[in-house]
Amino acid sequence: MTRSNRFVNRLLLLLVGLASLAAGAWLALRTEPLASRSPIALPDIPQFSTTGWWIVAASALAAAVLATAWAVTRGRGRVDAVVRTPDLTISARVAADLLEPALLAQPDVAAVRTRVFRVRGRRAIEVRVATRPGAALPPVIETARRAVAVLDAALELTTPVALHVTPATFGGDAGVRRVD
Amino acid sequence: MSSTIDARLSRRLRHRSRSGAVAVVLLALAVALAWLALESALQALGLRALLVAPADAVATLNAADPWAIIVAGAAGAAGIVLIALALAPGRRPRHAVPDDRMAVVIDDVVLAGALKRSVGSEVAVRPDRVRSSVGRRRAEVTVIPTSGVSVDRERATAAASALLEALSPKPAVRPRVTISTEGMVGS
Repeated sequence: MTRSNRFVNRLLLLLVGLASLAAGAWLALRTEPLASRSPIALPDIPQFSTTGWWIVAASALAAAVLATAWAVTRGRGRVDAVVRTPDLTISARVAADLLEPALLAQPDVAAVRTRVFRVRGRRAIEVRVATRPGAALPPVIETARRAVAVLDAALELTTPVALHVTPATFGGDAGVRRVD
Repeated sequence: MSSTIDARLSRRLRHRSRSGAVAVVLLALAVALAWLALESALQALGLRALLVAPADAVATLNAADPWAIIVAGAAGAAGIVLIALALAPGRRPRHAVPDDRMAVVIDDVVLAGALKRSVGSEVAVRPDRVRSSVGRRRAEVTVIPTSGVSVDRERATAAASALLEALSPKPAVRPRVTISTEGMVGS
């Protein structure tokens, strides 16, 4: 879960894809035998003067810097506080401490990771619960529900929470538990 | 799912972000543009090109020789891949579970594991003798009974349905339970 706008991500891929496809089509349509059958004659790529090449160099450099700046800002949004106002900061650790012990007490839960993200200007808590193979889900969800109620009461506010239940496929704590 | 923020959180967990793809595309673009900027500057200064002089590259592409066709093919293929990435739904194998207070998303593998346990304990078959998989709208559960012991398919189906009803994943998942005709010796 990240802050970067997903519509913009898609739009960017679409625009670059269309530009790339158009460039490919343009080059292909100018080759024989396609060019002779084409109703319109596609122009050559122009050769530039010295000034022209300087303009190409400057615009390419500017675009490269922009692309890099955008690329390195993708996927961010994790923050270290559930609440941060001028006079109050509640650390993400507080949320983790309120939520994790109850969940870890469940025999089917192998690991819990609590993180806070900024999503559309709001802070949201993502609780990732790694469960052992064959975990009974209703008790795990019910425990999370109760833990979130405790969190709400402690913080005296309702922070958006996303509970993500995953398989525990990592670490030594993920062993198979026989169900009798 | 009570609020729009919960719906958004749930959606974000159930779909790929494409941040990685966008970052890769942008960085590749940045490298290509930086190279173009350098070569153009060298050309403008009348210095020797690093790899290919832009004027020569333009001449090659204009001449429609094999290199132009290779470049056209590569650009076209990359374009199609990027358009597909942009337009594909990008769903992850996960289901949302309705809840009043928070967004709940469960990996399909976990859902399959829960079905396996539910069905296995209902018909008294060890979990490793039950196979299950969860798709977008259908869950397949196969029970491999102990040789000579019959397994009640109705009861197995009822157990799977009860679990799916309790969770009511979105989109809805319908169970299909199969009792394997080949039993296994010992249990």
